[in-house]
Amino acid sequence: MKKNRKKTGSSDLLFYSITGVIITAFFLIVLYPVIFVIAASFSSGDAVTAGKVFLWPVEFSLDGYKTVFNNTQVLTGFQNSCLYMLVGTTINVVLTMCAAYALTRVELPGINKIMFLFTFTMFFSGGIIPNYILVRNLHMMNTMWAMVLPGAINAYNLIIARTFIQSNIPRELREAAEMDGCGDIKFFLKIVLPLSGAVIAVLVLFYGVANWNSYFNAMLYLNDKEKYSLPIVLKQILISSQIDPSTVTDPELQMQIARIANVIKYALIVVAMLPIALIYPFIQKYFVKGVMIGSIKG
Amino acid sequence: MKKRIISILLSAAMCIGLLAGCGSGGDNSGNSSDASDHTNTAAETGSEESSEKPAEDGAASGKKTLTIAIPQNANVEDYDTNYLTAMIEEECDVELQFQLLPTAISDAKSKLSLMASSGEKLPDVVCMSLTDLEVLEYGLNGVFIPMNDYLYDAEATPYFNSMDDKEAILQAITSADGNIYTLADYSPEDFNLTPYRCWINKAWLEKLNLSVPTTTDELKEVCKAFATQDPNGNGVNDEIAITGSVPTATWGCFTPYYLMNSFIFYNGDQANNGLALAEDGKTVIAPFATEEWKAGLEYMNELNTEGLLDPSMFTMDATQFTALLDQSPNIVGCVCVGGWGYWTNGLDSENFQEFELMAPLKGPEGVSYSATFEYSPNLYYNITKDCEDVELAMKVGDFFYRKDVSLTTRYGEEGVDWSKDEAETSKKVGLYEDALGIPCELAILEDQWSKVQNKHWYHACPNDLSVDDYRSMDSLQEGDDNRNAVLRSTSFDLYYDAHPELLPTLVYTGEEAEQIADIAADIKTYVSSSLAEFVTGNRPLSDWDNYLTELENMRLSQLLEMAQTAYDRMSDQ
Repeated sequence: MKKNRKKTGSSDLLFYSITGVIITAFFLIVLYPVIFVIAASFSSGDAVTAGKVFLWPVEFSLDGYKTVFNNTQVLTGFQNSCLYMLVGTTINVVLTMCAAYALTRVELPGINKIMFLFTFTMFFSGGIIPNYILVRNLHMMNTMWAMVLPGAINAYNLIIARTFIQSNIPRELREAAEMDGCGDIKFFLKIVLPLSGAVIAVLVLFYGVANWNSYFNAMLYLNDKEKYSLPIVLKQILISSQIDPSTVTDPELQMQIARIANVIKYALIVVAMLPIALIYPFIQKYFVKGVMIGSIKG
Repeated sequence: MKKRIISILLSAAMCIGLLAGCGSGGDNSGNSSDASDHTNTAAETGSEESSEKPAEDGAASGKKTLTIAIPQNANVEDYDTNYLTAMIEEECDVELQFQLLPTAISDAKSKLSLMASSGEKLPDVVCMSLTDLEVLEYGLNGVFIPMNDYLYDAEATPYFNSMDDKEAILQAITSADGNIYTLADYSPEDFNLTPYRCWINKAWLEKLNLSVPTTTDELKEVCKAFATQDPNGNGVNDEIAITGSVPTATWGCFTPYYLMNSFIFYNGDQANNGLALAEDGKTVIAPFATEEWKAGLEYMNELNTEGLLDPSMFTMDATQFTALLDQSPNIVGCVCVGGWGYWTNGLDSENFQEFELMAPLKGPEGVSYSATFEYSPNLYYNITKDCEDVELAMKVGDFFYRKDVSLTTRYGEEGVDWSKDEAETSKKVGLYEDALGIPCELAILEDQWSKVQNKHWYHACPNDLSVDDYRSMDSLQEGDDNRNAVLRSTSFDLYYDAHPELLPTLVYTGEEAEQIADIAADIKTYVSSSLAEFVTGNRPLSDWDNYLTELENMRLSQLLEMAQTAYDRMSDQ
């Protein structure tokens, strides 16, 4: 490390400092909204609407959180979202890993065609109405399965996983294992999976975040308040703080409703982003490694 | 080594997760297949079989079921146990089931159109706010069924037919093809018809020894004094003479619409795409393409060049606007605001106390109007083609028009939340008691608005609350604090009648409506962005002729022609 430092010339130093400044600027731009939301969530509703909150909580108050946790809908939504994320991500990762491994085996007949079909879905899809009809005819409407099964494999993630396996698990390893009488399934379970920790972490994060934030599917397929996921509940509450004069019966009364929403808006956002924020640090180191390996050697 | 342990752990976690998924999945799929079987039978089997099924259900509860799709309001606790729901279920002898749609109206609309186009079995009733064009489209496609026969039959719909406002509602709900596919929420409240109310800082006027301006020129003088003489006394020249907020984000806060009405009547784009009637009461004109409009722009442009008019009113949203109004000390001199809710704490806001309502100003030509529009009911409650018991759906729809039910949809439970009993009303002061001498006939005992409640569906259903109902309402006066009533009646006095003959809400045929939608959208955007450009001086007023030419290119004359045809058709009737 020290040796490296010495070699850094002045032009490099300039380059690094400029990059540093730019990255810090970007970092602050991304960081500020998060800090603001957290500060606002601990401030009183009046201070927030009056625009007094900048960096630190003003007129410290926990009212927002109290209201959020007393709201049964938020709790149901939270539980549902956890369930959908857990089940959904498990299905996603299992299917993606299986497909990715199969697609690294060149002796698989028609491998190119299969791969083409997968990539095809990255650019084209049937559209909302056919999807909706499909889900309905599979009797998945208004069930958890409508949340976790459609889009179980994401072609982009599949390619990352496949490239990772291709570049990290040499063909020779499989041949050697085969010599010792190891079958395909055993090889996948005992050798491929344990060696793919990094990419699995990446998949878990990608899929997990997507499942956690999934709003559109929930909006389309769920009709029952007991089954609503958190983003739906979140949107419901946030939407009531906005007034669109053209669609509202009674704007003046609507304005009064809006005031309630302002109090809990930020607390709700914090609650909604907390789980992901908590998981992220544990996965992050694999995350960078996994994506990098996939991209460089692919 | 460490890495390997972690990977093993992760894969183990994954496998366990998988098993757990299967386990709970087993239970769940059992439930869900039950549920979907149920809906499925209802959905796909023919009428013979499905009529058997409700009969079985009915045998258990003794009631028929009606499914209602409704956008969920986050402030309604539970639609199933709601007081209004229970009331309907009991009195109409029906079991209501709800299919909740997304809260955001645009999402709810896309979901409805998806349900309709996927050929899925639709709920019996759709209860959401749709535009007349949308209703017509669904009606023509056969998704919604006509209700004409029921509504014209006084026996089928007794409450609807005994309403005082029946004609007004009928006019609004009859589609261009002559059919009626919808019921309506009819609740005209005159306070809402003139939202562009202007408030002036009375405290500052007093301090500078000025009187309330009555003409546009006087306003200018007053604003100059506001901007230069430090009326808030903090030693800093931070006063903003005139401000406001964008019309798309706020309600009645766009000050230019108020000012423009001192030059020519303009309804503030609240109805008929901003079109108005000429003085002869026969010709439809576009106020935004007249010389008077230009004069208004010139006046506002002058205000802007002299630094009196805050150009941020063209960009400020509700949050920023509230922050500005709440500044301490007050820095706003004159502002257009629909209701005091834009000040934090509303009526009790310290800054708000400084303001007084200002009458429409007289322009150089003596014009002084307020941005008024004719009330048009909101369309709610459509019966779909998959409804098996239309008579029952109609019965429930009609039930909303019973007076006490209508009041329940807005105020909650009778006797608990509101009362028409004289013993209660005599204790209260009517909202318009001072202005019009109308005594209180509706006492509010427990306000069920602006909180999470389980008494009504937040007014999102058909109902009939006439102007009289509104005017004889409780002013919610507590002790000597009658500001709510006073402000409303002042607004009524100053603004309600300050307009020429109004262009009624035009009803177009389907074909016309489609063309107009395209033209009007372009023109409206262009007019409002040009207004901002002219006022802020980004575009010189010498460019006025180009503005007119551009409007013509956007087919303004075609828009006017169609509006004229529609108006003539309506006045012939």
